[in-house]
Amino acid sequence: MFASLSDFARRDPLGFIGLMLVTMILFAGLFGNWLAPYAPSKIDVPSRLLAPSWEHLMGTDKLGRDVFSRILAGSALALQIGVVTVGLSVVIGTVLGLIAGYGPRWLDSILLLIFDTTYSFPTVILGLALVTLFGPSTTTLMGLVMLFLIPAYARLVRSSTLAAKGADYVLALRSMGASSGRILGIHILPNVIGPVIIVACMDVPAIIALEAGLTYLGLGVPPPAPSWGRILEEGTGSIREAPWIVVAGGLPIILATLGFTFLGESLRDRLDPKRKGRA
Amino acid sequence: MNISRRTVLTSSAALAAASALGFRPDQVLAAEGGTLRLAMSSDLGSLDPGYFTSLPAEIGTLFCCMPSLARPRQDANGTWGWEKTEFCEMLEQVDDLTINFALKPGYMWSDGAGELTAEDVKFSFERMIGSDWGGRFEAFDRVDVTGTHTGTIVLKTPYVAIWMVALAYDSGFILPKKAVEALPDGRLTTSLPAQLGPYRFQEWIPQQKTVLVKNPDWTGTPAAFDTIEFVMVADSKAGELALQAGELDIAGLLPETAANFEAAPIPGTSFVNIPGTYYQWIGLNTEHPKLADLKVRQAIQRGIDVESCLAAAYAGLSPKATGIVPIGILGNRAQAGYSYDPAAASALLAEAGVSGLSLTLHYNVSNNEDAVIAQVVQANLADIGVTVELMPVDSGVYWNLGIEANGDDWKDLQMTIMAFRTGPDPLDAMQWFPASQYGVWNWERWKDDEFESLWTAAISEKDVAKRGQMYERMQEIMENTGGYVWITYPAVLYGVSTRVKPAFYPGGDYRAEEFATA
Repeated sequence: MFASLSDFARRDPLGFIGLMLVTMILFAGLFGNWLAPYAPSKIDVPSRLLAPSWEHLMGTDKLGRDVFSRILAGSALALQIGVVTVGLSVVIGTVLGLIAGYGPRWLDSILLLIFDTTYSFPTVILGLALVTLFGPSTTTLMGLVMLFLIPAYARLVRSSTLAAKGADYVLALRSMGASSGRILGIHILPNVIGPVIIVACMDVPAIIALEAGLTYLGLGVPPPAPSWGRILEEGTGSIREAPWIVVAGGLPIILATLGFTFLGESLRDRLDPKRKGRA
Repeated sequence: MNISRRTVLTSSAALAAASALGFRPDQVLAAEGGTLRLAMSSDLGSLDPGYFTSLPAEIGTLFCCMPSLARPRQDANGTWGWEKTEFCEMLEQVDDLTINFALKPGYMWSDGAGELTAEDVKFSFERMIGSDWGGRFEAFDRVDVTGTHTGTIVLKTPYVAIWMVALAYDSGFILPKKAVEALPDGRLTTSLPAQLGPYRFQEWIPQQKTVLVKNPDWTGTPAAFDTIEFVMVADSKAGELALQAGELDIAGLLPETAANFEAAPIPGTSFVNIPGTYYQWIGLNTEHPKLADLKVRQAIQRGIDVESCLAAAYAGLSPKATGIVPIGILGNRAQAGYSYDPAAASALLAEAGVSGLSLTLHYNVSNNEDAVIAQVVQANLADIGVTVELMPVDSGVYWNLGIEANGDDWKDLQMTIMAFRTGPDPLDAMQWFPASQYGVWNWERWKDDEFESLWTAAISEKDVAKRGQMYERMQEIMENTGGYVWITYPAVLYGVSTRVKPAFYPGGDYRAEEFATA
């Protein structure tokens, strides 16, 4: 394993860094609450705005909460919103894309109309409207993200499915009497899923950043949830007096963005047939 | 002008040399002398007292450039009252409905608009009745002109608050009748057709600054500065940096920065903490089934550690509130009738037979402090077994939540973080709570007969001390409903250059015309 990892690091150092960062974030997301030295939402006003020390590695915030513990706990939330939402969107988007691409023309037209209509809304404006209607919550935020990702993935899969639909191997399968479900699930899906995985990997940091942005505007995940965006937002008011809060809130967003982007590009180099020759 | 590469290099070298020799920007600015620069977070909108939005730049400009009969002044105890201005020879309330005034002769408007007369007073006050600020003149009937410089203000009903709500504050400006009537629609915009004061409005550069200059024809108390600039600084951090660089003489500070200023003032600056005229509280809907029991509401009053809220949200620089009438205004209470006592709070909940109570707390996301307070409240109430779900709401939606006419959200409201602003009279603060406001701005949803009687009586009570006691009692009644947890009167915090001596109106608005060089 080490041999293959070191080989990976030598051949694709950025991809390797991406893998390490993503692994680190996944680890923090899974075990962050357990690793956190303090309860992330425990308020201790007399200990507010303490500078970083061995006791509080990233200092404390306005309410005296340990920033390091909040960052670790925030990883779980970032993963929930980033990875889980993107994962669900990939599944739903892929199914819809396969149906649109392989199904009858009228169904394709209807689905395409829905995809394009949804996709044409400006993200932040629709986000603000949804949050105003349903109130800020993790569920609202995940719903908003899925509303945008599903049509994007569905369109991608639809295009590939349309191309595959007329391929010789599909025509052969049909002539042999294979069912549509079998053709789509066993033969077309493996050929169209690669690009979706690459795009999804690149989308994860964008979604984490969107969550941070909406929360920064006060319209994301409500307090006291330790979202990275909230940590950033809460630190802005005291940026000159306690700059460590903004740094601590911004750092994981930057690392997550870099990690998923590097890893996504590395995957693209490996999975995209058009780029295989160049990698 | 041609700027060549050589010019740029030469200029850069000169600047570098100046820096090396120790010249600093503030010294360059100080050399200009006589210019007072005040930071403003909002731009000028309108200079018409009947239609402005009462923004600091507007009020500041009008106080500097326009006359009035009276202006606010603090007494020895720090309570705001009024005094006649230098434009007045006599100003006296004769009875409940009559106020006599006499202007000093010889004050001339600029731009050939003639002399300041009683006709100008009549025109200015009577046009306020139908204006956007007409509510302040509800009790006002008319002005009878009895001579060129004398007249009588006649009220329809007794209304002692007219001094601080209308005549002596930002609705009491006198306009030049002839010049205003000559305007196309009889309204002022962002310029003044004629002026009379220690300063003259010179220009307004949108989103940048409003510039006033010393009035050369002014014969009253001399102006201290050649120029006053209200500089638009939307971000308080930028204002703070500009103050440190000597580009501003005064700028608002965020609580955390102000705390640092207070602890260790930056050379050349000092820190000023002015009692604010906002009042903030946590409101409890007394009619909501979960809060219908008075003991539950009293438990919440005692279960919230307001000191912690203030330390976290305001860096401990804002005072603990005792009601809705802020410090320095008649009727401010010395202390509240309850205090933080989690043991008593738990006991009250037990007496009420309530356990596992869960409540919602709505707050406006536009106010950063509210989010901090909400989290402290959530933690405090968790300690007495009450679960609080925080409900941050966009500003536009928030201010409609409790208004019956705007939907059904009021039915689900349980706790809210509220803040209103008052003028320098207690009536202004109290006006949102009589029975007529039930379902409008009284989101705590209560009515009380004694409160109504006091509200009506206080409007015409001329005995200042007795009137103050009436407003104190009204706040006590509010508190006894259990519908209020008083939080604070958020302080107005400034960093001030030591080269100027500042002055303020109620609530911390700049009294620019009284700023002086230190």
